[in-house]
Amino acid sequence: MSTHTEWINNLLDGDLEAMHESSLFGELAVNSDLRAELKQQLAIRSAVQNDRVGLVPPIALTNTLFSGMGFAAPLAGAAAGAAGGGLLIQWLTRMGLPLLTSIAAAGISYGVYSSADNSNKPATVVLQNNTSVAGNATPEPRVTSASDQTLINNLRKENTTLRASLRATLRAQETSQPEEITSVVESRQEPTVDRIELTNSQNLTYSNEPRMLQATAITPINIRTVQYPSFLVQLRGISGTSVTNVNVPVQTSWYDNMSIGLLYQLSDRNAVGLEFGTESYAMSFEGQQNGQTIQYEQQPLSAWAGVTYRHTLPTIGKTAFAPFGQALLGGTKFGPLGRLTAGVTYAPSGPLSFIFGLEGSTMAYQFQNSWYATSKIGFTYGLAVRF
Amino acid sequence: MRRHLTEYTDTEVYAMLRTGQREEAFGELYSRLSSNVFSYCMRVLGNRDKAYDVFQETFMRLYQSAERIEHLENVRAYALTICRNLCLNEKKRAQSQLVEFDETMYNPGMSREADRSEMMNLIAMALELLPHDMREAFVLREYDGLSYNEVGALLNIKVETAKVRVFRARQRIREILEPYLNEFSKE
Repeated sequence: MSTHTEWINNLLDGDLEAMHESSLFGELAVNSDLRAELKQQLAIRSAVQNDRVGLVPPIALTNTLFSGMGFAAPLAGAAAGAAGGGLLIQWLTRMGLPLLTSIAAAGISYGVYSSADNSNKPATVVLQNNTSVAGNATPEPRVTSASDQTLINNLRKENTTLRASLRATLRAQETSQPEEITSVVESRQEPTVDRIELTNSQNLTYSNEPRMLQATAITPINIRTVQYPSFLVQLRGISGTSVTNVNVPVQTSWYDNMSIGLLYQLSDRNAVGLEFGTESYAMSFEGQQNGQTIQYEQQPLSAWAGVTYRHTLPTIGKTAFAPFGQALLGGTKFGPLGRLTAGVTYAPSGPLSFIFGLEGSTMAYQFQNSWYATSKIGFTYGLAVRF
Repeated sequence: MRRHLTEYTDTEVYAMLRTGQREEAFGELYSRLSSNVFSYCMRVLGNRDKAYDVFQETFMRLYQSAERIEHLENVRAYALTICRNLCLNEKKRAQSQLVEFDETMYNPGMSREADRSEMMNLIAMALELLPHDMREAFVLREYDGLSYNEVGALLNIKVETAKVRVFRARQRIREILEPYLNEFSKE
């Protein structure tokens, strides 16, 4: 090798000794071939540097490697680790699913127990009075909900009226039927009252024989179906498009963009709950690696979970459609997540209802101490079961 | 206060592969080493499919090695050593299968990538024409940024030999690309 070529090589490596610098540059000034050689070496070096920047393992390869090892995607993991969610995000990631499963299981168990309990027993209401209870032994009065309490209150009012009527009737019939008084309570529609035991100083016995009670007008009981408190399990699909443009294709199946939620009905308008799902978000961010700026693009599938609030408006006219708005605050392993939904519910009859709506969501994430955000818009559809 | 993984050294993160933080640790090591390993695979093997296979195998072996090795001083060098051995095995296998070898040598798959500049394609082609020993020394030095000491240690050769191989590789690449380089310089 020629000395000057060797010096050029050393120059490229940054190892050219100071004593040779002036000699090399002096030669370069007069030797066009040597100048060409240096230019070519610099061009090669520049091309190699550019080539090196482009040699980043593709997302698909990374995902294949990590999924094969049962791990989450590495860049996602790095971003997630640096994300500001901290303990909350880690907690949501690790404990979200078990917690939601537990809550859902508890809710379902409660619902099944409640419905089984109600279906096996007639709507028996026992009215207590200060005096001794007459008649057959009955189960202990069980007031388990506000609806029961409302019903009892209404029946108490009617009982007062009924008792007054009975007294009047008894006084009128005292001579003809002094020993036994048979009362028949007019049947009402809902809720069905199979047996009303009235406690009085007089001995009242129950009779199956229908007899019209000549009583004064009985104030009708306004009993409406109380829908709360109640739980609602909701399963829905999310079909959204990322606002952020990336060249990486989505590698998810249709069943990946779904969610399950458990909502507790605070009133007939408001509900709160927890929702858990998986969804892919397009992520585009820059990072430094080996002193080079690298543009990353990925669309990983990510689990998310959050607290949700829903406000439902009155039904539209006499239809079974009711508009609703819903907001969710939560997080993914990448960072915090916000979600807004507006749509309608359709509840034709029974506990089953259907939802359809428009949805927008934004996820923030951090990579190498820089924050980024990605958004999606789309529509959602699903069904819900109330219990 | 708990340190973030990026604040740990390669050796510390590698040690975490034996702990409950293995997934996060592996992700961190991957983000640090994948570029080096991938460059080596792509430019030394010159075949995308084989490079992908070796790349994945390298990281799987690196992960598995943590079960046996408690302390590893130079994780990057170790990863590249695994990668190099796998590449050598792949080369031997390719040489024993002539047809496959030819396909490897003349597979222009890398050059077809639309988003690569012509000069980078020429570099990739020139690398494929280099003898293997020169090529790997050049890739380790220029693509992976290793010092001559590290190149020598990794290839199990003297530092001076490493320097000579890199120098010859540069010269050889320049000779191969000279017609093109002259065209570029005219433009």
